[in-house]
Amino acid sequence: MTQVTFPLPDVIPLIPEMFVAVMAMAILLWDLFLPKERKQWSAYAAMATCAVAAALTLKLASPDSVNAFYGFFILDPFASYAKLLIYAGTFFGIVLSLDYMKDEPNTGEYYSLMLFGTLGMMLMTSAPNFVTLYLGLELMALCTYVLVGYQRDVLRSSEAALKYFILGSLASGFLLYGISFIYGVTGTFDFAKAGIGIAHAGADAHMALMLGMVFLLAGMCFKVSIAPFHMWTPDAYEGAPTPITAFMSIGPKVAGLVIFIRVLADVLPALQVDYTTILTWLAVLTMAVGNLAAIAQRNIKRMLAYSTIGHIGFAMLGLIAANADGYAGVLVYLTVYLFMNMGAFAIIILMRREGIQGELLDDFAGLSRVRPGYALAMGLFLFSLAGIPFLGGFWAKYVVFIAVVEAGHLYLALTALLFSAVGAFYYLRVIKYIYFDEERVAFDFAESRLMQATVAVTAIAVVALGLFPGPMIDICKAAISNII
Amino acid sequence: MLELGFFYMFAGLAVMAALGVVMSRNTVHSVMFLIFCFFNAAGLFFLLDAEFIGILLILIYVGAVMVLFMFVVMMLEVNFAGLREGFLRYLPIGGMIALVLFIEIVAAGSSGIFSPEGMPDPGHAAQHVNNTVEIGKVLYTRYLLGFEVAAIILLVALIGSVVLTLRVRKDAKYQNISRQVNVDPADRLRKVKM
Amino acid sequence: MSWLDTAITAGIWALEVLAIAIPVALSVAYITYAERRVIGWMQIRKGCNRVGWAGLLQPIADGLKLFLKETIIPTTANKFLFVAAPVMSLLPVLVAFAVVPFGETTLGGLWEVAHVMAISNLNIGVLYVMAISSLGIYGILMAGWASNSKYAFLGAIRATCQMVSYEIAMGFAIVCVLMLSGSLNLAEIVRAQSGGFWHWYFIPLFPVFLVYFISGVAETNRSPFDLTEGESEIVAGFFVEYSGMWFATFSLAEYGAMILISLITAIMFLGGWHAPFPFLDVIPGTVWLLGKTAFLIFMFIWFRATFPRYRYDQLMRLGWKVFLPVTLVWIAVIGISIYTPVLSDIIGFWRPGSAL
Repeated sequence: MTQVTFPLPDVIPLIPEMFVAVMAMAILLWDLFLPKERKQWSAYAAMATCAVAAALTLKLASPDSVNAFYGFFILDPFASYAKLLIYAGTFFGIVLSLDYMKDEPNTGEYYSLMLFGTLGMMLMTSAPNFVTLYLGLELMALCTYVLVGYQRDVLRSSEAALKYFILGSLASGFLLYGISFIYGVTGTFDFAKAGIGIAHAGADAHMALMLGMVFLLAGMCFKVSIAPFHMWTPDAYEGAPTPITAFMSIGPKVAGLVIFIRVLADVLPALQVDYTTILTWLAVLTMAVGNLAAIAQRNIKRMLAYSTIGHIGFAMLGLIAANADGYAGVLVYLTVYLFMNMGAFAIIILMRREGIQGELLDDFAGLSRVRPGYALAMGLFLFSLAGIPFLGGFWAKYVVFIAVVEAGHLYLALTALLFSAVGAFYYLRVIKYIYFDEERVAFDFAESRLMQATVAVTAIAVVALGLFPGPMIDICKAAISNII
Repeated sequence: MLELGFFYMFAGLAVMAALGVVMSRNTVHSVMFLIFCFFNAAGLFFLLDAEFIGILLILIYVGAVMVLFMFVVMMLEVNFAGLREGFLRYLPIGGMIALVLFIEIVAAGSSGIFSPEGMPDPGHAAQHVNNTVEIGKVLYTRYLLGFEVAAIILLVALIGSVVLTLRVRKDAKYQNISRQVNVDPADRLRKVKM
Repeated sequence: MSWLDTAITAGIWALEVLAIAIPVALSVAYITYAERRVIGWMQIRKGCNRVGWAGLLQPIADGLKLFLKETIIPTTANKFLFVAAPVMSLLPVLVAFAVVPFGETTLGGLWEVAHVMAISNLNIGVLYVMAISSLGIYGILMAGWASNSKYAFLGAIRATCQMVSYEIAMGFAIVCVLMLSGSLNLAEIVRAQSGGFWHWYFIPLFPVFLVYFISGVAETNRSPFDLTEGESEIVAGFFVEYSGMWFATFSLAEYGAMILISLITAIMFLGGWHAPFPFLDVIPGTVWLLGKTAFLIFMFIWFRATFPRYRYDQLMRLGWKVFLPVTLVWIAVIGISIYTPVLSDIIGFWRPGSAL
């Protein structure tokens, strides 16, 4: 008989991942034994999982980068910081779901899938090679497909899930195809080794590398909804249950931009000239699509979908800058975006009239008369999203704009500024509805202490980050130190 | 010599079968062609002494995945006229993209980077190696993380498909089989003295 | 290698193939006979006893009759697949016999070392048998679809669900065997069970042995799992439109699969060609293997005479909710015992060459 020994790899850096995976499975089973009136407990357990995982990540965080599992996993400050953002996104997503999903069946699977999706994102942020990247991506994507179509009796939810699934599969195909070209040239899945291989590749490899890079970028662009690969975003955002829309607008974008940064910084530095051109045009297109199409939307979820596209376009400036400030800027952007977007979605979920979820812009009419508190919070979020000075959103834009100007792309920064001004228009229009229009139908808020707390925390965070952006920017710069 | 003959047989049949998948009008025929294509691909693996991968291809793809595929295809009523609708409208742009991609791929492939000169012929080194053991050794050590994550992906796919399709209807009657099995004749049957 | 050598090798292969294919075909014929006699005996009636001495020529007569009958192809059938379907269900069964080891022989002292009596002593024999025998489903599926008949289609759908469900339990059962034998080679698995019946795998793997054999019954669509035919509801299931020789081909495939499953069960759980007691080794191993196979085939027939047919939901429940968990639990049991100090000594008894 063949005797084979299996050495146990270094599992310590993976403890948060393992914890989330085990808890996701445990919640799945536990929920079956919960009586109907106590189904909320699985949500609390999922929230606790995020909190504990965050604590574990903080405990493990160190300034060095640690490789584990034979180079299939990396733990560095960059990954740790991104993971904290992802935990926060999932945590808020669960909080928003508490009331929204109360009457749906199978809530245990719902929270379990959110945790599995979180696990996929965590693996993406810690991916030092293409295998982990792809597997993490698929894990995350599969969970989001299901979660988008969770209300399967709602036609547009199923439609959105199907669209998202088909386009997502296509994008995964693009990604794999690109990876296979890069693997064919360099013979390795490892980011760093592939980067060296590309730098030393001969002239005859140029065409294959270009093709590989284009497909790789296209696949990743799809995941973070960069135009022209953004088509799924408005439909998926509108069709998905609103808490899932909120969940999808943070975690997957964080994970997607993190792998974007890793791939650009580790694999493709030798092709910087080529990818900068591609990304510049894509960024302009993305900002244009995001900010112009949002104006025409009547549905707030669709509007926020285009707003996400627009914000990703701004965050791309950091990628194009391709220096430490730019990458740190992306992290800053994501951090601020987490709070302002979550807050806005919390308000949307709160808005309910006669039992029907308020999703149209008209539904906000006269909010300031009834609930000045909520109106103020929503105003803050929208001002911040628009990038009005001395709220969090301003600094997010400021950091990436400065970075891209330093990298020598002045015209790009000016274009972005222009689109930022266009974007302000549709945010301010919502504020007009809130403050200057008459209430038409009586409000019926879906309130709970946790929701109010979420609104309060996010609003305070947006203001605090706006007034004291220094610490956050410093942390982001420290987090990026291992990448460049 | 013999090996080369077999290679061209498997490769040629695989290409023909693949063409059949795309060209045949009947979807069930397409699936049959796809199965045939997998068989020939498995044959190519056998020629490379990778018998484990070859047999897995048959076991998993032909034996399980394609059965379910076939199952779905047989049940679906595919509206071919509907599928063809709009074909001409999208042909120019679709054809253009396909053409550009094709030219690029040919250019990348013919640039010499993937030429056989760059890759040494492994010969039949694998003949004296137990494929299964060697794959097991790397799969459970070096690729352990990927292996486990793939397992979780499958679990999520399972949960997802159940969540999206399981529908406990209140108006339908269900049988509780364990209750049926545990029936005691004494509860049901009464002996009556005649 | 010269052309002559190639020709000789090919000739030997052809002989080997014939040496297996002809006995398989003959035994299929006589299993049908045995089935009728045994069931007749169990139901206290005679069974066929007219053609030849004690009815021994009955299968030949049946075969001749079917051969001479007209093969009807329905007008709305998909002609090509309708004709191909019976072949597609028979072919995998015959092909799977290629790796079955029927014993070890030195050919009367001609060879110095004992050779395994198999057409191909494949390293991955177990996987090969699993892969190839799972292809039989395509014949049934195609027959059901190509007939263009509701009953046939329903039968085919039932067959698909059933085979896919039970294949999983069978696969996990095989994993248990592999954990003990440490090899995918069928001959190695038999060698690992040498030295008396207390070394056979049905003892440590008893639940799994039951699961494997019963799943095998389900895989071959034999009673009580013959819902694919289910004459009370769907006339004759997937082959309702078949007649004559094509109908006979389906029977051939069914009985061939029965022999195959019995052989593999005997090889994996009942010690293959090993005698139950070492002193009985004077009797050739092949006789032992065929004897065990014959007993298992008798079990198949016995089941048919004894059990009423399953209801469809019960069938699915048995596969997914009983067999699958049992095999999974037993994999865990075996795995844990291998790595637990005291238990590993016990389980090590069945694991030859284990260093533990």
